[in-house]
Amino acid sequence: MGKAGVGTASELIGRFAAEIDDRRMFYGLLASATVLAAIVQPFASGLVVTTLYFIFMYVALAQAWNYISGYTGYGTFGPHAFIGLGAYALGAQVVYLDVSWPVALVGVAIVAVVVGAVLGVILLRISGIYFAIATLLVAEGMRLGFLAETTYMQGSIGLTIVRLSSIEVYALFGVLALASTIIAYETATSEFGLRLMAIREDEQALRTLGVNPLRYKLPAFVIHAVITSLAGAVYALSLGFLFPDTFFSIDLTITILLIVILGGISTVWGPVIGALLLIPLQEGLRLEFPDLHVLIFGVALVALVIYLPGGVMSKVKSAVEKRHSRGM
Amino acid sequence: MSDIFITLLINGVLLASIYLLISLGLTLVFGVMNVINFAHGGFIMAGGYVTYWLAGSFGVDPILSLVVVIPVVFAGCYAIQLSLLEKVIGQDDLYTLLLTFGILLVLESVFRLQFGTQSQTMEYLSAPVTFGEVSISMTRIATGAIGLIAAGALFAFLNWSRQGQAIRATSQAPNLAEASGIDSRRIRALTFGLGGVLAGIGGTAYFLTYSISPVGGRHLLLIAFVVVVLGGMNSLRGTVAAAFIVGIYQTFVQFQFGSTEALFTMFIGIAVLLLIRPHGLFGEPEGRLHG
Repeated sequence: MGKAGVGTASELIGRFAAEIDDRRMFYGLLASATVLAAIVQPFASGLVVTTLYFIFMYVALAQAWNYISGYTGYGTFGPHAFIGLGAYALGAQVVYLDVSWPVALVGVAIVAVVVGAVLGVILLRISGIYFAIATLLVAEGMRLGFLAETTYMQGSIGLTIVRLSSIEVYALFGVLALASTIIAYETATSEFGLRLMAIREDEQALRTLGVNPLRYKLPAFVIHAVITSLAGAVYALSLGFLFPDTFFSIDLTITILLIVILGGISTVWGPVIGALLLIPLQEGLRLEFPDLHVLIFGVALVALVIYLPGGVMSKVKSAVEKRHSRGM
Repeated sequence: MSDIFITLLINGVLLASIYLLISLGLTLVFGVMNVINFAHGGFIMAGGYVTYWLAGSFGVDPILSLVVVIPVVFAGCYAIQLSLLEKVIGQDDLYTLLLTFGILLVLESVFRLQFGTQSQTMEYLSAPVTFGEVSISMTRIATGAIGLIAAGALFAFLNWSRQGQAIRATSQAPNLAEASGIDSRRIRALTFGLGGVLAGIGGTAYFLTYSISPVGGRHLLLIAFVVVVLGGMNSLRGTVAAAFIVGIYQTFVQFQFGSTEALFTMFIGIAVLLLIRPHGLFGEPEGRLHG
């Protein structure tokens, strides 16, 4: 009975996954998810809305991370640098330039493009562990920089900015999650995406062929920076208050990484599945076991890396292959 | 004026000896396993907390507590290597980084549950020692002495013992080492245990002068990253030189401008250094750079 149940379930997942590569299927799913998200919102209680918008936020952040680190193979440990950058770029505009927040979000994107390009040119010259450490140190350096800056950003005192209603935050994160997933899908199925994956597989070979890898990995890094900064800016709007340690926090980065690994690295649906599974669990644990949730989180991270390094999507894919081999 | 200079210099050297201890463990593990160990930050605090617990519950002298710290941390790390890290050896860097970060989170939560979130300090040997106009606190001297002695012991071990030579051989030519009969699995566990011991001793020594807290290891871990990158990932000698540069630099800049400014310039400076010299000051160019 149990075995048959598992068989049917994997059969179902397999069928779902086989059709997921289809473009119509992809946009159909996204459209229904969007409609569902719009319908659910008015009926949901405060806690559910908060959990949902955190899911959206992490979908966007995880897609952005997957972009540079999954497809391109440059594993960054510094997304929180851009989360903080986005938050403070928004804060500076809203408080000191008296800009309304929608305009400020455009400003955040511009700042992210510039900073992302500069940092990208510097950091993308190194790879592997060096890249991971350098991105982490830059993020930590930025946190300290904003802590030390006491004149405008008021360092460790914090800066109060506008705070949006949870419905507005829900909509903004929803749009961001949707856009980042579409960008991921369009990239993964394009020639540009193929080049990114070629960089991951063998950058030296690509160079030998006369291709300058920076032409591809720099745009990938900038897109990562823009999406991550915008998510940081909206996160700031949801809190209404800026404090360096809230945004330049490695815990945000680790959650992002865990989501991508859990869902499936280098896959379009991996970040979505990972966020859907992890964030409600994390929020639940935080409420139920405030003392133990970090411990459980750590154990889960260890277990996941050892037992399911390919994530949920790898299981789905192997289910598909099994089905095909049986069918043919 | 020059007295201030000498005081700062001595304090810088003493701080450097802690950094040296902590960073050597990281370099050692990286050399043999090509793993950047985030859990190292947890092992540092483990040393500090064992000392804290022994002093608080049994009144054990902090320096004497090393007798317990060393075997406990060694056994723990040996077991972690064999049961967890061994399973991801040779996989993408990302997985080892995540795995060791998971271990760090577990250790931090255990410390938090056991000892609370507040930071702990210790009253120990607080009388200053005065040489003419220069005055240095006794705890700092004890802290520095532990660091230098332990680092010296490590180099002696690596140079003259068979096990130590096997570790160096595995680090320099893993395949050749295995071909000549070295059990690389055991050497990896031994190295990881040894790296943990260096962190643990470093934690005890750090605790004599500074405060420890559940997440306090993260700060020291980042500094160790700075040292290791500056020295050139795989070079033990480079780590020694870099530890002294970082320790003395931090002490002087902190005195002149403040602690946040010192750390800020260090972290950003390292990112710039990687641009100019990706293999650090003393590392071998290329090689494992793109690994």
